[in-house]
Amino acid sequence: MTAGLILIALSGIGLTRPVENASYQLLSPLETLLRSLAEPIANVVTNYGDVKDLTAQNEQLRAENERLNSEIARLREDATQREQLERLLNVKNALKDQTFATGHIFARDPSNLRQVIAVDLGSNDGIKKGMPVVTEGNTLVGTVTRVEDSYSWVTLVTDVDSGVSALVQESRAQGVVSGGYNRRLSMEFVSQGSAVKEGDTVITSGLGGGYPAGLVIGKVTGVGGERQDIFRAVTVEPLASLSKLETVLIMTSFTPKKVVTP
Amino acid sequence: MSFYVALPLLLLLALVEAVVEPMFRIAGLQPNLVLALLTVWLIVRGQNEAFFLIPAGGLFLGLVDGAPLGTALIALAPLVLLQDIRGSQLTEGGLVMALIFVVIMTFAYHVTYLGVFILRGESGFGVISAATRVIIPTALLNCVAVIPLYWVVNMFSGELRRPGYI
Repeated sequence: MTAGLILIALSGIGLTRPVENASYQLLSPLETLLRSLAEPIANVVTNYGDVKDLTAQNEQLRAENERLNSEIARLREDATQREQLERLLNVKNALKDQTFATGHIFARDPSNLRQVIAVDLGSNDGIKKGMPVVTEGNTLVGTVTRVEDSYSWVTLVTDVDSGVSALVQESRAQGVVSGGYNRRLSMEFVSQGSAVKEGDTVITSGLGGGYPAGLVIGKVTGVGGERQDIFRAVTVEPLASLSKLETVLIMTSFTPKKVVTP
Repeated sequence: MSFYVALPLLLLLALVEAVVEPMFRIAGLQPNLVLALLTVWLIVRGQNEAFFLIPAGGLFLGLVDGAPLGTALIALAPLVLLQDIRGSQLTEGGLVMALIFVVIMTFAYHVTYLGVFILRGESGFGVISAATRVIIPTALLNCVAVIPLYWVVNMFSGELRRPGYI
């Protein structure tokens, strides 16, 4: 117990990093071996028989659908933004000039309480805490929450500790998208008068400075709540298949801003 | 089964938890094999070996999970207390005792994790929703994992078998 407390304290000030980095170097070949052994079995389990081809096709279509949805959302967002910006300021679209680093997921946190993935890019690759992580289709995956020398931990948007300032693209209703233990997303603080309906697209609003505006989070799958409630209960389905991710893009050019109250 | 087999086995199970099990999650959940093995080892092989294996298991889990190093070590520590309770019993229930212990330990393990997260200032960790959506289903999964592990450890520990074991 005492050793555990000491280790947590040392971990808090980064003194356990050499041990964790060394263990990563030592264990990563074994992890790769285990993954390569388990993946075919996982494929057989999930894609029994000839369904394998259909699943691959489905995966392709899903990726294509994700990319197109993301593209539509971005185009819509671009148009809306252009209208707004033409009236206000001539500010560039935040996403256009972003640079990305491609990372491969090599492990997931075994604790059922957290939704955290390990990516094979670390501080040696320029990764910093707070950088947003997206799929190849530019759908939000999560944020880098811990960085080691050659790998980093990314907290998924579905994690219970995750909260993203978001807006519904069609109605511009604002709220906060949070994760939960049920691995689903809910959009909180959406005002009762907002016109939100199933199928609407939820994107990052950029408020708070933690994420760039316009990243697709998911689609509205349910709108609930009683009339007397202050806020509407909005459930959101992530657009990216977070449990099957293998590769992610870390937005290396985006620096999260710390908003200080005036 | 040699005590020294347990160390590489624990490391392997920790890696399996991080790399293999996520591919086969049931409703987004997976069993904690390290916890299950340590519980079984405690019941079948006794407290002397488990006393050294519990910190090792905690360290291995800590190296592969996303929580601060040491969290798993603390989370597995209550197993030592159960060990003391077990030590005071004159007769053991074998598999039944292992199942009871693993359920208690699953609760203790997760509550410790929640405590560490809350102390670190991470928000959103509701204890009741964690219990209903994560801890109870995980306890069931751990019970399922205990059965084959108990059988294997018990089979290779024939020399330690005493009357009262299943």
